[in-house]
Amino acid sequence: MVENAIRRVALVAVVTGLLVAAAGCRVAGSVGGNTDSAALPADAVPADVVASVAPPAEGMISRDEAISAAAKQYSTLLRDGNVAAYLVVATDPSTRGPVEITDRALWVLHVSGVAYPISVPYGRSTESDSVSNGWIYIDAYTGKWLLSRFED
Amino acid sequence: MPWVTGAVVHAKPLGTLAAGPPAHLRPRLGAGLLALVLVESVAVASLVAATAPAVLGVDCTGNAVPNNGREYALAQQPDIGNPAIGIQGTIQHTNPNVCTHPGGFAFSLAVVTLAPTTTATGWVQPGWRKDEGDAEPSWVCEYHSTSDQNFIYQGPISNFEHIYKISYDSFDQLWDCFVDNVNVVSKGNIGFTSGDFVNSQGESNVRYGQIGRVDPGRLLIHNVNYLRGGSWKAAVFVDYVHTECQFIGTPNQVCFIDTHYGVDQDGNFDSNLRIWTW
Repeated sequence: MVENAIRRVALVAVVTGLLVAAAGCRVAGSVGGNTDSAALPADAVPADVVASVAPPAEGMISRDEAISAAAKQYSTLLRDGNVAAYLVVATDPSTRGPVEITDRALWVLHVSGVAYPISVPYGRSTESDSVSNGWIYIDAYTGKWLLSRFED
Repeated sequence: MPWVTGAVVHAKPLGTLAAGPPAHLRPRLGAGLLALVLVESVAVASLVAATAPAVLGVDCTGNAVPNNGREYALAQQPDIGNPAIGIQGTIQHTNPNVCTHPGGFAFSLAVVTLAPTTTATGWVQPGWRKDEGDAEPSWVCEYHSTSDQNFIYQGPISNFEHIYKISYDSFDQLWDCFVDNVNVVSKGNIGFTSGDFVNSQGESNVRYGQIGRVDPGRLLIHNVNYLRGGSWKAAVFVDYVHTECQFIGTPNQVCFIDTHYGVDQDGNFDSNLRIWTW
């Protein structure tokens, strides 16, 4: 009987451990967009953007919710590209006015491996008619799409 | 209204598009997380299906313009004389059927453009753009440097007519992009600070993706002005071009004739154009 009780406790401990580990994996994905939450990869944001990993906070949307929000506008881009999501506090020096991004909590979805076509004015020449990277900014609290950038 | 004839050419495919999660993610995905990714994929696929455009015409689905080319309906003043440092236009709104492109990313847009005539490349152009799979158009500020680098910014807009503008600020040496006279983004270091090539166009990279409105509708782009000497001056369009496409990288070479697009002037106003698809 005691042996059974010990077995039960051990089983509960194992199951609990697995659940905690699974939750840990999920949170890591939420925080760092499938990367080390302690550091962002160089291409997580455009080169001129200053960003650091943001800790999850009360009221913030999840990674999945951020992707769903972005998919409302960019379903083909998210379907065809490699998508990584990063919860960050960012400052984008190119933004102004109502879309100014200064020390703002964002989900940044980096979409890579695409050939996103540019517009070419009639009569003008270019050897570069597409870009390979897109960054979609989603407000970390409201889930609102704020801005997107596309560059090589 | 010039019409130009040309020859049919073979299509050149876009680059291969990657799919699925990045390779560096896969080893970390547990069974639970894999299930979650599958659920997310289904959700995204559902959204794609929900927003897939209806076919506009028999040739609408999956036909790229040959050789990475584009279809246009446009008006130009290719040489305004002395360089301007800004361009603006008031562009009506619509939610076009962009069709589908074999490589993805069919698009339709309406923009005004300023570019340096003397260089082979480089331009700035604000307006709106809708891509394949987008729920609706967004504002776009496109910067193309003289060294062939592209910088595209997009954001949400309401379903109304808007004033789109880009002008060069010599104080901070940035090209400032405005929507309804509100500066939304700024960008510098694109290799030029003025231009004398003025253009306004609707564009699609799919035959026959919708440009402008569907006949008998007309999408109006009006008050196209350039900034020179501290004041805005009306563009005097001398070329109205439609039913053409061009090879990207080989300008002024016509690659197909089609009769699905139209452009005209709205009354006697030089700085206006109306564009449509039938």
